[in-house]
Amino acid sequence: MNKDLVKVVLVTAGAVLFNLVFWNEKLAINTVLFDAFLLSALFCLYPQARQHATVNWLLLGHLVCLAMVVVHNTELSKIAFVTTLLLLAGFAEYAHRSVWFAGGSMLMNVIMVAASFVEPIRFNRNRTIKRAGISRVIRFAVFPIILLVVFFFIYQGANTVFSEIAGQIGIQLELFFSHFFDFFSWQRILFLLLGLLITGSILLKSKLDFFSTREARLHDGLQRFRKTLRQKREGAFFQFVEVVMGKMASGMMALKNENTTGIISLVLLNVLLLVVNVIDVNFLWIHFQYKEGEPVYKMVHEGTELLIVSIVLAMAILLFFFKGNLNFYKRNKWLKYGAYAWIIQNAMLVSSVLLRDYYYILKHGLAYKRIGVLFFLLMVLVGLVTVFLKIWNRKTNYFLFRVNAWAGIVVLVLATTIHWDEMIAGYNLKRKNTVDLDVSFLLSLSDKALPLLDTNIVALQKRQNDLHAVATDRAVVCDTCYIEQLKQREMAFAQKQQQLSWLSWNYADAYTKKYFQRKGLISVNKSE
Amino acid sequence: MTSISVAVKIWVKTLFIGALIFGIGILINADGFWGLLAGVMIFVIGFIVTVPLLMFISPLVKLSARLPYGNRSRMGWLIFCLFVMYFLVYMLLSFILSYRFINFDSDEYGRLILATFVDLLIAVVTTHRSLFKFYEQP
Repeated sequence: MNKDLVKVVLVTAGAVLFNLVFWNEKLAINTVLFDAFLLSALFCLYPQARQHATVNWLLLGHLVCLAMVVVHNTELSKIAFVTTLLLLAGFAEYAHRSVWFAGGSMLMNVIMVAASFVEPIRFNRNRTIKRAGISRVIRFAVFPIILLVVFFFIYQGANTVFSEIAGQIGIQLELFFSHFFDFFSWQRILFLLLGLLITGSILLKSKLDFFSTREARLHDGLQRFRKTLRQKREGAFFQFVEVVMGKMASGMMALKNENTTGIISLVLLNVLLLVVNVIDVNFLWIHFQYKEGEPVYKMVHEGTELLIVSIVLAMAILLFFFKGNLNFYKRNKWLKYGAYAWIIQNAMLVSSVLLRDYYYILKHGLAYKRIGVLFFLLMVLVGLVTVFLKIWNRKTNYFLFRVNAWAGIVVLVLATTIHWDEMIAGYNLKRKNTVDLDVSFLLSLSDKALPLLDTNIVALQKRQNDLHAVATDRAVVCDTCYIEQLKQREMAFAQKQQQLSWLSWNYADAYTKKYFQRKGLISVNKSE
Repeated sequence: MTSISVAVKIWVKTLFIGALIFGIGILINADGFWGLLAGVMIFVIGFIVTVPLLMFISPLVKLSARLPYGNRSRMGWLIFCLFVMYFLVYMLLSFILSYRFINFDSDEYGRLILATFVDLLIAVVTTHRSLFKFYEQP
């Protein structure tokens, strides 16, 4: 079969499959069916892709995410599944090394999907002539039809019998359309179009290879090339530096001056950071104590956010100093030492933020943001290591962003392998006597955590009531609120399960369902 | 042939066909006279309300001419982009009216979107001669 025709057939078939497996269902086992089709079609259309190691690694990561969609069915696993699928298609269709550029190419695929879909369809010239005839007929018909409609209403008003006949025809038409739209719902047609958009964006390669040609010009290793002062002055950034530094930025000694400015800046920043780190080591690392009356969240929230900003800013400062010629300057030894010291001190700062988060978790248990901070710190640490490598081995910013993006993808894929909600519930409930529990938060966790909550709810409610009574010295207003809330969650889960078919099967829901079946909340017949 | 003239043609046709579709829709559900009146009203009010859209249609026509695709593919891309543009307008309106960007529960909302798609498809396809002439001129 003609390859162009194959593309059109595959995209259309994909859209139909999308409509069949995802309509009124959640992403679960149906994702496997759709993904199997998409991957087969992708490697059928771009067979050379399987020879690239990057594609194979991405495929592995994508399959891990797919498995996690079926096993854990978390929002994170779904996001990671979509991300890795798009990247896999990007790397299969274009020549890329960076995740950022592959993402750009996929964005281009989405924007150009309509053109890419129509392009393979060959239009017969004879048909064009016929169509021109049809178009002529339409043009001739417009004016008479308008006249016909106007006089139709005039006669309808004037003649009652004619009006009755017209009314009957109107009723029949109304019936026809209502039956027609009962069969083909509007939402379903729009859903089909969405399927077409998604499948087309993944399978059809855009003719605009802007991002792949752009990336082909970039290298990991920094290369030295001469730039005239005029060329430099064209850049807005250099103009800004010239305003601040005056002649020192453009004279014969410009590079030396830049080096001196860099050394002074880094020495001052290192001294300042050293003071902050010494304070942290003293108060956080060695002599930490929870202060009476001062909530831990205040220390963590205020401290962590600012420290994270400072670390990101620190990386930006280093990128600024090592953006060009200073990398090749013979007397940059002290500038480099200053940068390494700055990186090490920032790594210490990361450890301090980690410690703050740890103390917070010890006191209040696990929560999304607290886990998010851990992942962010991991990424910052990777960022600091890559900044070090960039300076040490004279690498480009392209290298830096490329490696960090890949690290982000690896972290994302690994993060999907854990059901965080279940972990949060398990961790916090295990320490229910030592940790300040936020029961409302626990009750907002996903369905997989329901069995754990169900086994602990009575104890939780009792403890909460006791705490409330001690704190307010009054009688408890509602002593079964949490139990009732949990019951409502369980009922909602049972109802939702009854609306879904086997296409929405996933291990997480099946586990919860089995638990409630054992409890008798969901009857076996209804759920099957 | 300029991008503005092609854009104006597409815009007027979209309005006219839109008014026709909604007029017929109301004609089926209500009295004939009201259908006719609604069609005329939609055309007249739409004429005033949707004038600013010309600011976006014209650059899109110009942009479609620059794509490295065949004429029909460029036309397909233009229909898609115009549909996305109208869809964004509807999303904004829906948010203003009901604080929801997409109101999937409403049958009217779905019909409006689908009718717009059909409307744009007919409007652009029937303008293909002017559009292709614009694409092919140096």
